[in-house]
Amino acid sequence: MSDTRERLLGCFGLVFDGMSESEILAASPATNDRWDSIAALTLVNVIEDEFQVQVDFDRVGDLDSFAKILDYVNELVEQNR
Amino acid sequence: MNIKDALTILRGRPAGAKPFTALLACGFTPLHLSTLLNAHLQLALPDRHVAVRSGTYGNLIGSIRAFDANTDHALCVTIEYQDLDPRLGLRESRRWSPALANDIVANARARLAQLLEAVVTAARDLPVVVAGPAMPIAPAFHAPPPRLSAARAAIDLELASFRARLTSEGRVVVLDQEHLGRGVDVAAYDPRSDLHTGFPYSVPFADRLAAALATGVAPQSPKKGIITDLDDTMWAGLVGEVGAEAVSWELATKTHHHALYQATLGSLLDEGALVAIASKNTASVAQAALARSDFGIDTQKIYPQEIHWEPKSSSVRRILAAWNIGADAVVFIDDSDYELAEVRAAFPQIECVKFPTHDPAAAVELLWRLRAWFGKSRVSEEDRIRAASIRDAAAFEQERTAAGGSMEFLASLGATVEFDFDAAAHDPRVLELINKTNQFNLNGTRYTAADWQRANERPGAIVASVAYTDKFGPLGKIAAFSGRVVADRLELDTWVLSCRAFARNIEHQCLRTLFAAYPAVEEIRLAYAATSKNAPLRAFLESIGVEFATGTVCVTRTSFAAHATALSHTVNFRVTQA
Repeated sequence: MSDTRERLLGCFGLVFDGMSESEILAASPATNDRWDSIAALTLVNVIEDEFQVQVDFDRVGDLDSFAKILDYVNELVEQNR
Repeated sequence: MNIKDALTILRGRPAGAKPFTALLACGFTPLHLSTLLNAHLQLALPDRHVAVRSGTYGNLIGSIRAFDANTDHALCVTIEYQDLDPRLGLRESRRWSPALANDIVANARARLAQLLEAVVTAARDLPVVVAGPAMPIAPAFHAPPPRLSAARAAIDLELASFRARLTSEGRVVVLDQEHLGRGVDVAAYDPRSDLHTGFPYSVPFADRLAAALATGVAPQSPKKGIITDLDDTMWAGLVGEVGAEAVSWELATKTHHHALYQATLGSLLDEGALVAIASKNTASVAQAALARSDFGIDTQKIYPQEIHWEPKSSSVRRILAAWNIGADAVVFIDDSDYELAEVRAAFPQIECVKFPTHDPAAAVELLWRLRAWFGKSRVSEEDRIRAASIRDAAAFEQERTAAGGSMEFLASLGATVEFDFDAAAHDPRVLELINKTNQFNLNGTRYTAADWQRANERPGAIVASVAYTDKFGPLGKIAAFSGRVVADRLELDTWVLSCRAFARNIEHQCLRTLFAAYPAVEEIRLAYAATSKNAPLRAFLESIGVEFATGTVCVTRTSFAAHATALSHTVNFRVTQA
């Protein structure tokens, strides 16, 4: 589980270059100007590559925090097992 | 490259480096194409801080017209069918009907005319690369697939005409969509992504497209020379065993791929590549095969021809010396793993390629690789005469050595040096020369087309090309310099002289002509920087008394006069800027 968290932090770090871990954990589209629709879709692609999963585009709008995305990625990884 | 790789590359962009901005104009959401293009451009231009900006969604023509000649360095345009008429794409289509077909075709024709005007206008100020369409056309027309509908054929005809017009524009690079899709098992179109996000391409295809766009913006210097084997490479069979008449390159014996190889080498020769032979054979036997009337290359143009039983690395060494080019600019082609390994061990920088004697498909693929290594956007007069001038240079060197390099020998050449200060700024040969010359190069700076244009638009800017001819034949435009005049000083930013033109005192003539052309100039300040290869330029500057210790490298009118050497060239020069 912690491995998934670390890898997801890496994905966020790539998309939001320069953001610290604490900033990533607190970030949301509402509080961070850089988290726009393009960044969200880039993040989706990086996550899909990193975890070899396919994100449901219908869920992208709800994935508005690191914690929610971590839960969703864990769910997808479980489904793939 | 995937998005993660691209983002990692972009994280490593050099902070504080000179910016390079490309405008990506497309009618769809640029999304991953923008990220991947940025990364590929960053790899192609490692000393720059590359950024990609994009235009307005759904407004391709408006995005193209939004280029800023002051801040953008290149324009990349990707056209899709939906840009010609929204009904030709899937995202914006609402209604299809046979009654609308003529209207769609007319709309596409009008939009292509607007696109042509917008692209050609932009190309006057910056390099432009055009791609597309890559996506399939929407199922808008009534013909059952795979039958071609008249409307689709009419649109494709308009597109073909549009592309033909653009390829005739010197500064527009048009990508070949068929080639982009060759050899990859990748669907270009991703309907899921298109319909959900507005980004139409699969990521693997977007990566391939981005790489091609980046190559169009920042092309790598082509390779310069091919060293080829003969037996089972230039032809099928061992000429020493079967004889000159029995080696083959024809359809009847299933060896036609060797004829195609000959045709490609012949074509590359005519486009300025150098071709030499390194073959282990008895020379007279091999020459008999080369002399056959059905041989596909004018063998007079193949120089040098190293045909003997010595190790191939020795042949390669002599060929490189005759050509006077670096090993990294050369491709060595042979069917023998042993010979490839032997040459690779001696010259690790040479691209060593196995000729696939028994695999025609791989041989055809090799022809495309040769085109990729040696292809160029235009063929200049210098390209056409290069092979002959290299051969003539050997005769020149023989006579020069016999004469001990004497002044009498140089005076006997009947040499003419022609300086052109008028047209050089817009002469693509000048930029080509500056970007590929290594040994006599003031600082090794490479220019993008946009940077070059801007440098030459500065107040007081000068640019000149230098052409040379003597009794051994013309060398073409073999030198160039650029800079600007500031009061009584000429600041020289670039200065290159082709290695083919060494030992003719052309470098002395350049300085003498500059002082003559600009009588108010008392000092030429040189933007010299040492590179791993430009020792010949430094040696020349030291020979005329230039000091390197002070930090400022300059030649004054007085010191040049004191070190001046007697020159016997006839000088022609055109200058209107002085």
